[in-house]
Amino acid sequence: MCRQCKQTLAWLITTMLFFAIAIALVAGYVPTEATMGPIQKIFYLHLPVAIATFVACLICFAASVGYALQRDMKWDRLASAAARVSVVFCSVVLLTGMIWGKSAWGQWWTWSPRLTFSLVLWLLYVVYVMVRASVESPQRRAIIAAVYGIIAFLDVPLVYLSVRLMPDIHPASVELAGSMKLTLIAWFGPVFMLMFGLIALRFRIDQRAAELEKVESEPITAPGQMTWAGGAGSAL
Amino acid sequence: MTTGGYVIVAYVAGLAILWGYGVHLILAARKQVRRIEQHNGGKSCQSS
Repeated sequence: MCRQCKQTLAWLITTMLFFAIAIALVAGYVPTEATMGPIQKIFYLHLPVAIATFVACLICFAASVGYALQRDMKWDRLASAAARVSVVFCSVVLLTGMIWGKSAWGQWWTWSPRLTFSLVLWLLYVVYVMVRASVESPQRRAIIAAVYGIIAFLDVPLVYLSVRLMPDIHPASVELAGSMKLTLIAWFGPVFMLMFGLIALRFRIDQRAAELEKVESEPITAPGQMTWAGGAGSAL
Repeated sequence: MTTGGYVIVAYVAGLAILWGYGVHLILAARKQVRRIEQHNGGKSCQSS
């Protein structure tokens, strides 16, 4: 098995193991919160995934700045990978938030500032992915995506600050007992491992696709002569 | 639906979306490796 296959497998097994521990803590260890009842348990998934979404958006922003300054396609691929992962994570944030809202507030959705800015964030990155798909020239796509990625990130501080600066139904902060804090920390581990792992995997796929495209566009010399920056065309 | 039901639905759906995307990427990577194997005459993965 190649080095990258082993790395991917190790990441997969470790992340799954940490998720299993985190789920076990929610199911059997952490007590039910007195005011909100069992629905509060959604919080242990909702908050880490929300923070992971912000971090993925930050990676997209940083990579977009990197591309704008250096014009290196690796930055563009990293920004693209982070944006895709942020869409997936933001979808989970919205879904778990809606389920919480239905049970706690009696409605699936309300146009409160935090919920609205969160929906805008999801839409911004969905459009980012769509914009990328609509531009054919790689250089043009990269520069448009970099500018868009920098601007789209401006919504992240709005999501974070909205609940503090404006009246909102969404809680601004939550007081947690010791066991609840421990469970929350236990959820941050696998969620962040999954987020970083997915960005790395997506980046590697895009990187190899670009190399494959380059090789396929060149005249064929002899079989077995393809080389890969990722280490001899590794699996996964 | 009971409150416990909402919690279970949130966890199952949330984790299904996150891991579903992971499975999608792993399958895409495997497909890509098969393409590389076609180029390299069956070799894609070097032992280390």
